[in-house]
Amino acid sequence: MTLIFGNPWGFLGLLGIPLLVLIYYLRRRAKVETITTLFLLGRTQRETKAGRRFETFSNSLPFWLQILAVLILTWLLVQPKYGNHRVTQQIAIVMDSSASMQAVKASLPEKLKESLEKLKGSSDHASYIVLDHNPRTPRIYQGDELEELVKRLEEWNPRDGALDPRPVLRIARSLVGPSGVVVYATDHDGRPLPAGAQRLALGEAKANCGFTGATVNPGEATWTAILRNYGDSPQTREWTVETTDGRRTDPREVQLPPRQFVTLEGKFPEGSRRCVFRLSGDALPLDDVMPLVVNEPKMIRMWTMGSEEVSELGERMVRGFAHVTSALSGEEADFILRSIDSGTEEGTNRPTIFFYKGVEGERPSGAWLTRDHELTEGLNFQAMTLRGLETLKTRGDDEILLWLEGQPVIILRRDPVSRVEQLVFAFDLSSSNAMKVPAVAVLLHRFAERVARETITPHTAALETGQQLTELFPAKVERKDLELSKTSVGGLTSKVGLPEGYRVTQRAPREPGFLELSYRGERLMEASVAFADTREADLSGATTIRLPEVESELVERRTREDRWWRIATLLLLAVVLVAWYLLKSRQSS
Amino acid sequence: MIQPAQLEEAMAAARRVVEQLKLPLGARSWKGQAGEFKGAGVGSSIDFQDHRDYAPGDDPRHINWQAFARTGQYSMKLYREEVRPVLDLLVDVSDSMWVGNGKALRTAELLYFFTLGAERHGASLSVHLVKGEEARAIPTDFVLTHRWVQEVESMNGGEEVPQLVRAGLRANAIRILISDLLFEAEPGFVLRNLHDRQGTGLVFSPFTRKEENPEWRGQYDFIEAEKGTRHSHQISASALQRYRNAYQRHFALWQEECRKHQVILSRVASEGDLLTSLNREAIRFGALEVMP
Repeated sequence: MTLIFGNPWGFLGLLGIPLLVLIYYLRRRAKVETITTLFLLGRTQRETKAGRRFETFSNSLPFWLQILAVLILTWLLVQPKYGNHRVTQQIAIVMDSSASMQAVKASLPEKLKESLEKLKGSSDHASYIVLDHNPRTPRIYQGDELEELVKRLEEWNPRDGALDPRPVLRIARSLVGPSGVVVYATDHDGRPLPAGAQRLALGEAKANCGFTGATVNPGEATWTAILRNYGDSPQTREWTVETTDGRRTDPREVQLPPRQFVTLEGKFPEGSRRCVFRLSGDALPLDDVMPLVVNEPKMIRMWTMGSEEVSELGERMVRGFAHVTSALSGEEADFILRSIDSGTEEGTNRPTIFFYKGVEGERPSGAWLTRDHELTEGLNFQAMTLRGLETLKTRGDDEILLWLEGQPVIILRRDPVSRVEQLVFAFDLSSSNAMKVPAVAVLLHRFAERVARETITPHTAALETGQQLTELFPAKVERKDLELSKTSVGGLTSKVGLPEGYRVTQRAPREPGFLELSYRGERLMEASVAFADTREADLSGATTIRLPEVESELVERRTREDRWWRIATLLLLAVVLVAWYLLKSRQSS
Repeated sequence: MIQPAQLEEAMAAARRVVEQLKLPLGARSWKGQAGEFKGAGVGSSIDFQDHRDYAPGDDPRHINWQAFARTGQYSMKLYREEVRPVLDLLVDVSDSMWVGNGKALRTAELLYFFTLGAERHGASLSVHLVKGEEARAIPTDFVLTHRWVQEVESMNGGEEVPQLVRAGLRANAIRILISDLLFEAEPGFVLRNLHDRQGTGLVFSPFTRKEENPEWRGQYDFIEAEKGTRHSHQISASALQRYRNAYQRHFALWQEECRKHQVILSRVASEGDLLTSLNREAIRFGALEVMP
């Protein structure tokens, strides 16, 4: 059992004793009086010769009571606790792995080590668990070797975006138990953490400039890049453009006003499909490079046939949808937009959008009911009016996207033979306001994108670091026919293995660079991968927050409080009252 | 010590009291110079005392001629001797007597009272100032002209117990001691000097209420009146009570010793007027008498 003082500053309360003596000395300075009967006094009382001023108070009961009160008060202030130091302190550190931590990564291990040693406090041993703020990421370290922990942190490479750390903090709490310490190591202040978790911010507000995006203008061999100064002071940087064959432009200086964007424009290097923009370095290197590939968007061709209204809709789609063009014939089309007669059905070997024509009947009324589907998510068809509704025979695999009073209005179905998707509108365009309803336009656009995703055609793309690649993989291709490779901005190419479930789990590299997807040996997709998280690039909000209360919390958890503190408080009260009473009665006498 | 104006006031106060009080000079027979009081022997006053046979050498003026005519024998008329009483006034002038204006004035008043009283009754007065080992006899004029104060100030007898023996006291005298008796000594050591050689002792002891019943509480640096030394004391309620008890015991012992030595001790409070203070003990104990 060890006595620990939870608040050593409480010992300053002892200063009350000399203060009390001083007050007594000032208040009770000896009165000087000439006396003729000293020999009579001498018979009854010894003379206070040595330490005269101290003895001034030595016979004063209120004085001693007040000294006792100061001692009790000091005892209460220092918060005595009884504890056992022979315990292993469990410490869990959740690392903020957002990209902004790159700015402090170099100094972070040593700073963290210093804080962790403080966290260990007076315990004999400490056990550390270091977690990434992303719950899907494996633990960074688990063990009791601080040096090893530091080594792992030196290898740790934060690249993520901002994540809510609270789920991982709760996991950390469950790992270390109620007596352990949970620390969230980050570089900024933020939302309050779950109870019991301490924020350790090791950041420092710094000026940062970087690329926020770049595009190659379609149809022209020019590019546009946007630079941003996140700081509050003007900055000067140099930028260059590098090509994959080693060519490099001369450095050019650019002035960046505080908190402002600057747009750079230029010609794309001739004969190159890729280039890399570089900015002279600063605290955050991730946004100082911007890879770029030529602009070859994925285009799909549409063949329109049928009524005038459908033809007009087709023209509108070609005009309005960037990746849709008109096909010269039905054979070369990637999908078809057509109308069919009421009461008929058509088999197709390409994805098709059907509108019925010649549908007559009453104006249907009632409640619209939308199916929860990726094509109709968030869409509102309430404004749509129809005059007549084709009664469709539904099949077992039909997905009815829109109902009107129990009747299907829009159906997503598959051709029984070719299994291609058909989007069937069970009404006549000419007798409805569908072309004016935004939900219909969005639905058509989503279907066109769905078609585009399944269309295998070479194209380029601009991706962000860590972006999910679900949209890149056509559903009809098999994993064995696909090959994914990444190239760093330095030109180092490596193959990326596609695991099971790659369509859901595969993400773009976390480092800026290039990505290439091949299908049966042919290049299907070429993409640039750039860091574009402007929240993380803004380092002006970084700050430093120490762990001021952790040590006292450790003591709190490892110890039990002085169970006599209530009695001590009552005793203090009693002593003060008695001293006050004695002084009062003395004054009155 | 005392301002001249205060001395004049003290003398005036003493003069008023002299009109009302007197020493018990008639209570005993005196020997000495002719005066107003009955002597112990035969004298030439008009008070007839006895007859005896003539002896050669007798004053022929006192022969009772009427008796000779009747008997033919010489017989002498004997008359009471009238003598002046002898008064030795001893004033303890140690520093403690002058602490506090009230006590000093009361001491001065007593000095004036006895001087004027002796003068009024034709007593042979001898005034002695005593301070420790030093005793200085001063003429009566010194008292009435207040020069005694300078005498007191020039004395340096130390802080010892007043040595009355050094005063050269006369035999068969009334010896009056004015002293606060605040010294550590065997009372008999002092009192013996008052009653030996047929002396009659009277002690008048001025005191203050502050000495008798002080209201000390807390820390005090006491300066001893005689030595001037500083003494630190913490006075609590119990210490104060012990002091009061010691004070009472001190004077109870003096009273007892005075009775043994047939000396009248009268304590004279410094507060109030002189007559009132004297009335409290001095008259009651017979140390003074009210004038008829």
